[in-house]
Amino acid sequence: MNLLHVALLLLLAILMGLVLAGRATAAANLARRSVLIIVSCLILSPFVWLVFATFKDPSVLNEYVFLPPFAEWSAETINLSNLRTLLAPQETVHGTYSFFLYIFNSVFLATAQTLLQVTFCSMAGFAFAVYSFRGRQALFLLVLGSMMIPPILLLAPVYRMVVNFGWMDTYFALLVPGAVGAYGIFLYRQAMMRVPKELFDAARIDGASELRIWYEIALPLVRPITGAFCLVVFLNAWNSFIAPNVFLQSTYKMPLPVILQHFVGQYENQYGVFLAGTFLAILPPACLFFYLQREFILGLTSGGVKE
Amino acid sequence: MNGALTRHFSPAWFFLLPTIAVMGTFLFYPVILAGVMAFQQSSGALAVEWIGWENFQFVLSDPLFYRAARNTLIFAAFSIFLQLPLSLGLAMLLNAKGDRTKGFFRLIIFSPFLVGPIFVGILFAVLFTPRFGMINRFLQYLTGWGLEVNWLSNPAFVLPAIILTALWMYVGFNMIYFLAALQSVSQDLMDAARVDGAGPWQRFLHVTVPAIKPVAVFVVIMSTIGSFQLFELPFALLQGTGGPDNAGLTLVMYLYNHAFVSGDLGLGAAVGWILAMAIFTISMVQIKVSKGGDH
Amino acid sequence: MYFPPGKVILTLVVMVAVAAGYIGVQRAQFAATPPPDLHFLVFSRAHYERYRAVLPEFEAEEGVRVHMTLLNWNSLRNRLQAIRIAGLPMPDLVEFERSQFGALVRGPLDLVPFEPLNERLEATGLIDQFAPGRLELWTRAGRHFGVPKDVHPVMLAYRRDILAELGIDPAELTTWERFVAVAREKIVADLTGNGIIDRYAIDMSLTGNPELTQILIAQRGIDLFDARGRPLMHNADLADLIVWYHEQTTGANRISFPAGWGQNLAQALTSDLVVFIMVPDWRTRQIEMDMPGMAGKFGLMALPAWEEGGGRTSTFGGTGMFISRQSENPEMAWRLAEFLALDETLLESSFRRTNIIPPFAGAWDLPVFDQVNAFWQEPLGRRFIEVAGDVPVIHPSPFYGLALDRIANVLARLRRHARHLDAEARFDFVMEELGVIQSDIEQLIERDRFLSEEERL
Repeated sequence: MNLLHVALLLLLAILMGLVLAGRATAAANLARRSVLIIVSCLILSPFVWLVFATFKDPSVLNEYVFLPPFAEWSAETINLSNLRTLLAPQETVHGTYSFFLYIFNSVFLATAQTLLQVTFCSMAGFAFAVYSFRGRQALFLLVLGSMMIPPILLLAPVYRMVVNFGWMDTYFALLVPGAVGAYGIFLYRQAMMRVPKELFDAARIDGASELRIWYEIALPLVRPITGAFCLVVFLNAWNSFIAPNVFLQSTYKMPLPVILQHFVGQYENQYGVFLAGTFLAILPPACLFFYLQREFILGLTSGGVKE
Repeated sequence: MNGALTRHFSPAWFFLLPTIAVMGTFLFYPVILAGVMAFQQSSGALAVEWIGWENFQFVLSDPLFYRAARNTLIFAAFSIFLQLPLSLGLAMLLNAKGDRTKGFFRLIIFSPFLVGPIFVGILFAVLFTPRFGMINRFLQYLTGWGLEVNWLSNPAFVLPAIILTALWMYVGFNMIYFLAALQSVSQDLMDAARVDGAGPWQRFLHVTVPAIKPVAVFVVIMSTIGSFQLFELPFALLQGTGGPDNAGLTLVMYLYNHAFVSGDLGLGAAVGWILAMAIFTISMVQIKVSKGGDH
Repeated sequence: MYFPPGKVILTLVVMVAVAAGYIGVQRAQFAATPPPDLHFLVFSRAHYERYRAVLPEFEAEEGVRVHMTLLNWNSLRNRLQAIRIAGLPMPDLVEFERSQFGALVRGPLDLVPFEPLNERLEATGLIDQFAPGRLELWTRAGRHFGVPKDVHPVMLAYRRDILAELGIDPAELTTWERFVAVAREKIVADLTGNGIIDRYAIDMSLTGNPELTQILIAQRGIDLFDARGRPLMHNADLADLIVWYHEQTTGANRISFPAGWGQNLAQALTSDLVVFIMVPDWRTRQIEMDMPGMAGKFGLMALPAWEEGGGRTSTFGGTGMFISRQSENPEMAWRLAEFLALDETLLESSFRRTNIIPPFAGAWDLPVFDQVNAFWQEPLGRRFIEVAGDVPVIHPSPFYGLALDRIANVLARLRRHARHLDAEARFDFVMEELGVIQSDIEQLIERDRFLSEEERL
């Protein structure tokens, strides 16, 4: 225990030390780069295991922790067998269909969830940040307070409501209860409070409606926050499995993580297929992140917002 | 504010309508139901008995509850005092100007957040194995110790294993927020401080810290709430148990065990109340402290 | 292009449209299906695939439509508990694992969400056909709520090649006492002389789960709860067993290595680090799948007994089928359950897929159980059926999981304090801890307002 903690604390001290000594000298730059490389290696190393497991044949999956020795490389030890099993047509009680349906279900659920959350959370955040109205403080505290209840406790009451609304086995059961979140409201409120009020007042004098002020002035000014927030919501929805498992019935409506779990169940484990699926499931959000990462972390100062 | 707008019907209510509708139906109403349940023993809608404070009395006199609370507090402390400084450190390292590899490192450091907790459970059960596990072998190689450590079945190592796994998962996630915040540090101010002869530590304290403070407060509060709600990660890592001698039992796992494993939602609801109160108090203290620093 | 929320949102809008389009086209083929007559929940992919193959036959025969959903087992628990707490009807037919039974049938006996099957089992004569103890797993206060699906007897798998090399005859390992003596003398060894042991006798976890808590406790004839659900934890046999287990898993004299599951287990077995491992029928299949390269190297024997002539098997795991009390079509649900439990084609294909033997003595004559399994080089089914009649009885409780967890905790605490205690003091220490567990669980049962008359103290 001690050793590990000491090592971590040392690493921390070195990091901070480097940052603080960080004049733009070549030495500091080199140190910076090497720390980043070491950290990246540590973070990536578990994925190495995942990638190797994906491409190993099931017959040698557990024989070698990583890859077989080079002499034994062949189409029998390293191949696409796991991916082939995974992507094979899915036979279910409803009939046969493509595995890509699960991926698209996931894409749909995650993006729809993200769009709903961005819309409604930014609206609520805008309301809390820009207007003063009776009960604002109390309502905001209530919203914040809702974050403190463990969600698992609400499963049974929410289940009953979903049944009463006739939403079992529909995406409404997943999308509607998750359409707003205290996290997003809090985030947008913090961001929009930093926008100078004069901008809004100027727009009002020009005759803009409140809805237009939100859409055309407030939203563009908080784009970096929107980017970071989208990423968080998207990933949470992408990896969520408790709710879909409880509210969906038809296999063809299930998102990807629910299906992947079936490969590591009772009585038999197809680890290779599961790990190949996990590898596959990381790719879409990773691509999205890489493609949009400049947007995610555009300067908060961009767009002329300065305090 | 414009007085004319608030006099009648504030447009705020229009913007809040979806929030109130959704949260009211799927959050506040169930919270009230669950809140009431803390004072009941029930089994379905037809079998309900009011038992007053008995659920609370039971929980507060259960040694296991205090064990779970202790584990949760230790975990929260490490999230805030170890993980967040590391996130900030990484963000500052990445924030250098004109570095073309920035995007590449950013993706790598963030990447653990892309995978779900079930996978993390299976993965780290393999990494943390005595004799064969990658972490054990790496430690042995580096320090000459650690080959035979039973991370997940020795009470002394369970919590460190969970903290380490959480560090791997979340360090890059929090880094993203710090990175966004660091963009708002004014370069003019930084240059001015440098001209005035301020050292790196002073520049950090007097220029960087005030600029990133709103985001930092947000991240600290969210990390606290997240730590107190820790459930899926240890559940996956310890295969649904609290670990040896319950060394990895968290408060939400304790709640889950009563409500879902033993089927007594009343006890679970009582734990939920206590937990919510604790988080609320700690968050309020954090907000107070962060405001106090301004003056 | 002017789009105020930004490029991120624009990308997401495009993505949601594309995904909706794809899903819409794909789903067109499901649009016309009428609502099903029966809902059926299962938690194992192996079961799902076997059932799917035979369901059309049942549907054609009975003229009904069955909708089967596969969930992983924690999700199944979440869903069923949510249904129970909300007081809504369960799916018509459900399968779940025995650790979930006690908590799902809590509450007033008449409001249990599943139908008691006593009359149906008696009317069909099925009640006398189960292997001993299997019905008790699914029984509360005399009401049989579940149809057992399995027996899950436990045997000891060993490395044939290593035992042959060491000159050990597995037939001589009839008691644990002898097993430990042979293990210490001949098996546990530091082969390379570097101070690290390279060969242990048996796989036993440090936490005690499942070898101690599930397998050995039952094999020793210890039932943690009685038929009324009362705890029997304050028990000298149990204390003795915990002290024994601690000795075999801790310190310089230990004979076991905690090999774990999946890849870890495969590494330990393929690198000859561990020679014996306790296997219920279903785990033999996992071993086949996880280490195909080891074919022919394993043999099977009965567990060593605790005393000469004592019980030589145990049981680990178990699944049952349940009919919703509020099912709109209980007759059809029962017929489906019967079909899935008794259909011979299904029993055969299930055994081929999972190595699991059925709980009905009447089905044990099927030829499939005498076929020699290529991996084990034994008539695997027959070997497990031979011991299936001796499987110990286990009674359920909502606190069964808690009890196992607490026993594992006692082991962990004993490990921490053992250095300062001699053998007798260890026993006393464990007895004292077990006494605390006993009274804690009694207190939890005491709290239950909904116990029936006969379940009260």
